[in-house]
Amino acid sequence: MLVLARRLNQSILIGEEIEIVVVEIKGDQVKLGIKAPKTVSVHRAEVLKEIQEENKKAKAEILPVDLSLLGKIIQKKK
Amino acid sequence: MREIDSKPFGKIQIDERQVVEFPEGLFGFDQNRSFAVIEENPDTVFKWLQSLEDPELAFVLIQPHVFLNDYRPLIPPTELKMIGLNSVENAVLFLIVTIPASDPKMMTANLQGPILIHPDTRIAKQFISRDENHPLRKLILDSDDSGESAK
Repeated sequence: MLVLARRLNQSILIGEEIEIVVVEIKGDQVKLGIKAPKTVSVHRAEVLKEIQEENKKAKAEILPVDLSLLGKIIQKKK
Repeated sequence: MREIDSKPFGKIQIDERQVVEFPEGLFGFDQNRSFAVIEENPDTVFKWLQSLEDPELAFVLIQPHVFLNDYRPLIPPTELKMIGLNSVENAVLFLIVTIPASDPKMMTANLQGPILIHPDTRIAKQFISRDENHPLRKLILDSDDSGESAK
């Protein structure tokens, strides 16, 4: 892995179209600004993994549950 | 009509219009592409997303308007175009529900990873909403709402 030291407001370029800027440094948190073409998806790395895990949990924990009963509770609430 | 094996209801008949195709699968389940949206009866607020390739693979779905007033996932237009959509408003929108077996009333909906279906082609995709206010787990029965969910 390439490691680069950067200061506030300095940036790095990935290729010619993707730029990552250090916008703010506060304690152990760094805020990054990302300029990229609209065709590039940008996510926090953990987001995709979290959704994968949640899908697996959703699949695993569905039975046995009386869905029609739960549905009635929601409708009553609304 | 065709007969399929479903996890919640065993063998059932479905209409071809209930079939949706996920060209990329769902996150964590990228091998399963064909699903059917099925429901136990027209009154229920829940639907099922049943894999046509694996009878054991099924998810509970809910439409966001059932329990949220103004949910609109934030998805870049270039991603929407991957399933031929111009706008979120044109899509059929579902959220995956996680129901803890130990306490079903603590069920949550995944606002961060909504499913959008193109209404004409039935091509679907699970997207990532870029709105920071769309959590992975949103309680469907709000716990501080008049004590109704505490019963």
